[in-house]
Amino acid sequence: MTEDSQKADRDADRLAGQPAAVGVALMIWRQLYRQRAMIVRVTSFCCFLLAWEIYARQQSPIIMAPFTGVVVALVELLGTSDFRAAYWETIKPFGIGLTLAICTGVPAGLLIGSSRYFRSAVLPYVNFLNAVPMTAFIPLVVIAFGIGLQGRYMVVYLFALSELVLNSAAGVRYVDAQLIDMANSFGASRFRIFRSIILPGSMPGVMAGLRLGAGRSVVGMVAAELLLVSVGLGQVISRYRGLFQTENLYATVLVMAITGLVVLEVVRRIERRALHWQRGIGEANQ
Amino acid sequence: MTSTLSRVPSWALVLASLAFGAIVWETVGQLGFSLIFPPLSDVMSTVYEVWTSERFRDALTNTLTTLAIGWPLSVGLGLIVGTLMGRFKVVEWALDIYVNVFLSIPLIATIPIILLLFGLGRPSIIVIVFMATFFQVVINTSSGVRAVAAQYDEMARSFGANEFQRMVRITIPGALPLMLTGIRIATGRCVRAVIFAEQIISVIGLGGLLQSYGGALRVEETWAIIIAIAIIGLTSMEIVRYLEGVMLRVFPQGHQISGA
Amino acid sequence: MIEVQGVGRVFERGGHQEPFVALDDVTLTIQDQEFMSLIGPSGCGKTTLLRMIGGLIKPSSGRISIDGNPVKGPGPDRAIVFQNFLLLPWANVLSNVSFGLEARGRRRKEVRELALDAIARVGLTGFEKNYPHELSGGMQQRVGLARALAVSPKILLMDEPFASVDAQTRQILQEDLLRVWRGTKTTIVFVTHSMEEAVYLSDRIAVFSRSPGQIAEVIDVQIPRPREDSARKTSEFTDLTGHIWEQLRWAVEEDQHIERAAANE
Repeated sequence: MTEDSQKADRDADRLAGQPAAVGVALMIWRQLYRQRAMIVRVTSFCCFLLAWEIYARQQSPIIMAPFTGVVVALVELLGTSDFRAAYWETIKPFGIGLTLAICTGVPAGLLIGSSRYFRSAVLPYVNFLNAVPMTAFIPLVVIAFGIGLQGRYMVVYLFALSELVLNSAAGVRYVDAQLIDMANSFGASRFRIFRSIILPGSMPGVMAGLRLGAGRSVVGMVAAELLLVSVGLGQVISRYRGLFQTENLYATVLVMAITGLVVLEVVRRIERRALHWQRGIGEANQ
Repeated sequence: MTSTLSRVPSWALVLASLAFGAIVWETVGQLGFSLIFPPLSDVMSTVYEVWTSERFRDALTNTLTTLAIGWPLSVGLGLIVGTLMGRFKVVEWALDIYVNVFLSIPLIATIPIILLLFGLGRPSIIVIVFMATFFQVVINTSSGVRAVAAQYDEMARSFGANEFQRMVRITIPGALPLMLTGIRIATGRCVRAVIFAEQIISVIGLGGLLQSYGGALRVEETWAIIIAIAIIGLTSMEIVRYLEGVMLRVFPQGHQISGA
Repeated sequence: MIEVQGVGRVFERGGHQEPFVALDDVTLTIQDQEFMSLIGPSGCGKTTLLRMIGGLIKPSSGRISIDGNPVKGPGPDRAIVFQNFLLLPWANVLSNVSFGLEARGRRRKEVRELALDAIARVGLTGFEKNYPHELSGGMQQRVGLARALAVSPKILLMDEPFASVDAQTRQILQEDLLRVWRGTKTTIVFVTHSMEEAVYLSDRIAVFSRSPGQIAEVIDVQIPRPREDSARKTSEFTDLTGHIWEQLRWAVEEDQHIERAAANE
């Protein structure tokens, strides 16, 4: 970045003797040049929104809603208690499923990482779960648990589980074995080694699992909504589709997308705080 | 743990665990403990019936055709766009918001809109597959290309290499590991996307069969489809992994460029 | 007093390779409160011997005893300072220094007092809340030293502790080590590659040879204490380092010989 500002400065200096107006113009130019990345990004996005708006107005209102229309619909919907109730019904299974997955998946993962026997016993099943698209199990989950709250949170649970387990297990193996050596040299008990070294040492892995698991939970939540249509946003969407209320439909989809983004950001912040000690040591988490 | 147990090799433990699991499944099934776990033996015989049925063959062909169209399209375009993004900052600035957004949102949330725009058929599925695969390939490829550019840019310029030479001799071989990783991850997402899209639309392909059997409470048949899907998923990953191995032997990477 | 009698250590290697003889019939007595250095080429077993005294590995033959009692494992009378520091990255300085004390089961109030005292002794007062990644290499090793000193060991085992820092920091750490040691009654067993370091710090130096690992010679360092920086420039100092270099030189040349032969194959 300093290279760019140097270039802009040199250009400015070349015309240093010019009247004040030119000087001001130069200063503005220098600022713009430095921010050119942001400018391109914003322009690109605005073009996209503009294109959306124009194209949508020309198309049938049944299949496309213009950007402005969607925003208006979004604001209106968020004010309705019906919509908010449906949203809550969608968030509930997400929260329950993710929490369950963390409470069962992290300990299981830590166990798998620490014990060869446990790993050989459980890993093939986890790998199988990981290989099959989780959505394929949804019909079975529906048969076993119904389409109510339990069915939906079980879907979220299954989606999140394998990420939490596999990453927690990887986290254990990430712990520096020499640290355990050091602890032994001070006569530390197995319990202390687990609590002071293995547990905090696995945190990078566990946090990665949390991040990926939360992402998968969101996907599971949406999948459940779209396939187990009962009381949440999924049912709202089919209603709007049936009534050809396209703007509301788009707005609902936007709500789900934004929820996903927010969840991801929250988890990233948690991850950064929990791993504050990591800067400079170990690889960056991405 | 006694020392004899510690000498048992891991693969034996895995086999033992799977055998044990099979026995448990069979028992649970025979005792009727759970609706969704019929006896393993019944499932296995149904597998044969289902896989040899015409209905299955049609669905399988359907799904594989969609994959055959969607995968190369997404991966190919992804490699091109990713390379351009990694190489030219302007392209990166213009496109990176979309890439990051599409990778951060639950893509399946957009399915209702896609169905609206493209109808309830194969075109929609291909769009869904494209979204799932394309952005993954783009981000890994651009990452790899950017890393290579950072490392070798000065050297290439000092020898006066032109764009084409740089691309062929430096950029592509150097970014290969990350490109291949991206393709591998994207392939997983691709298969998942096809199945899910078919489940939503419900009358096409293996996904459609899943919904159909599931809705009719035909549990054994549902398991048969799940196993078929698992095999497709695992096979495609293995193929990609094999290709990764071949590529990395043709273009050995002495020093791994860190990333992803 | 540490007595090493006829100690040998053999490491099995996978496949059909010959087992590796790290040490062969090593006998050595280390007196109380003395500073003994172990020096030798790579692979001569000096680190292995240190770890055996620390109780982390068992000898294949012979025995090691401390004040007459055979060494059966790590104990409260010994503490190790490691070459890679091995600090807990997720814990601050105070927490790291307290680790040894907590592991040994001391009570909470005691732990805090002793830890703060050790931190002061290595000159890190004020850094208690910092994390390892915020500290330089030299400071991190001071934390490692503080952790070991905090448990008041009778024997301090140091495994090339200053090898991972730069040369200037290394000299300062050596001087600080001598200063800190002066106030205690600890025996120190110090493994190093550096002849200057060994001569500057030690009362006696055990020079190891390799293949198999054995003690070639034990040298007395007669330079009077306290040893300031000026001690490094005396003729006794250069004589001693020269003498050790003669001993070690053949090992280095032999290494190059082997490398050249392997490259020519």
